[in-house]
Amino acid sequence: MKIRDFQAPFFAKARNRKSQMEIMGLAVIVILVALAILFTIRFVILQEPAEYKKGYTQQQLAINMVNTLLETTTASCSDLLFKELFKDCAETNIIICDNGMDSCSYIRESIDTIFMDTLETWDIDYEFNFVVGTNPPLISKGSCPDERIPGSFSIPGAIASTINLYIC
Amino acid sequence: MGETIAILFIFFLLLVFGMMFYIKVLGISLASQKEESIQIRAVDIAERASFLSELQCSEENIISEDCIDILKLDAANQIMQDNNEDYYDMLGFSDITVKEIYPSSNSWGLYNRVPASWKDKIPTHIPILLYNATEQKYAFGILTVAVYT
Repeated sequence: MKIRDFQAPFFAKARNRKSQMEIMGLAVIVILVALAILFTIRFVILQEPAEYKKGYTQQQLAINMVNTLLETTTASCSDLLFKELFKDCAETNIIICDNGMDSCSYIRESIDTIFMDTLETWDIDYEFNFVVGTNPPLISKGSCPDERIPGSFSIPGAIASTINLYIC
Repeated sequence: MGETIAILFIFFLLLVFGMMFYIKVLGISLASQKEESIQIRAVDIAERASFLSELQCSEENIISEDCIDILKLDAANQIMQDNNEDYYDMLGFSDITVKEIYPSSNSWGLYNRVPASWKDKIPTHIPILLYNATEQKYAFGILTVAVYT
C-alpha cells in the first residue's frame, strides 16, 4: 500500500506531462498552419494584379495626347498648327483667329472641346497645364491628387514654355 | 484510443481545410494569370493596329508615327471589311474604329470580328493625327481598339 501511495502521484504527474506535450504539439501544428495561411494570403490573394494595359494606356495617352494636339491644324486660325498658337500665346499673344479670339483664348476653347470628347468621356482624370517660364500656369485644366503619369513637351521659342498633361 | 481518434480527426480536419484553401488560392492565381494574358493580348493588338502600314502617313517612303492618312483610311475601310478573314491572324477578335474629334467629327469602322460568345470588351484609346493630304491639314483623332474577352 505504501508503495502504491508513493507511485500514484508519480504516474499522475507523468500522464499530465504527456498530455501537456500533446497539446503543445497540436498548438505548434495550429501555429504553423496559421502562419502558412497568413503567408499565402499576403503573397497570393492580396497580391495586386499586374496592370500591363493600364500602365501602357496611361503612358501612351499622356504622350500621344500632347504630341497629337501640337501637330493638329486649327479649325479657324489661318491653318496654323496648335504648336504655333502655343508659341504665340507664350510670347506675344498677338494672333487673332477668324472668330476674333486671341491665341490663348482659342487654345482654351479648343482644348475644352478635345478633352471633353476624349478623357472626360472615358472617365479618365487628368491635369493639363501650360507653363511659361517660372510663372503660374497660363492655361490650366483638371487636377491630379498625387500619383500621376506625365506627358510633357517643351515649346521652343524666345521664352521657355512647357505643356504638361498628367493622367491620374 | 479516444485520444488517437481525436488527434486523427483534427489532423484530417486540418488536411481538408488546407486542401480547400489551396484549391481556392489556385483558382484566384489562375484567374489573375488569365487576366494578365488578356491584358497583354489587348496591348499587343492595339500596338499592331496603330502601326498598320495600310493606314500610316508617309511621304517619299518615310513613315510618320502616330498618323493616319485619311485617303488610305477611306480605302482601307472597305478593304479590311471585305478581307476580314485575312486580318484575323493579326487582329484576332477585336473592334477597331477611328474617330475624328477635332475640328469636325467623323467615324470609320475598320475591322470588327465578334466571337461566338464574349463577356467583355477591353477598349484602348490611342490619340492619333488624321492627315488630309488634299488640304494638307491634320485633324485630332482617336484610334480605338476594343478586344473581346
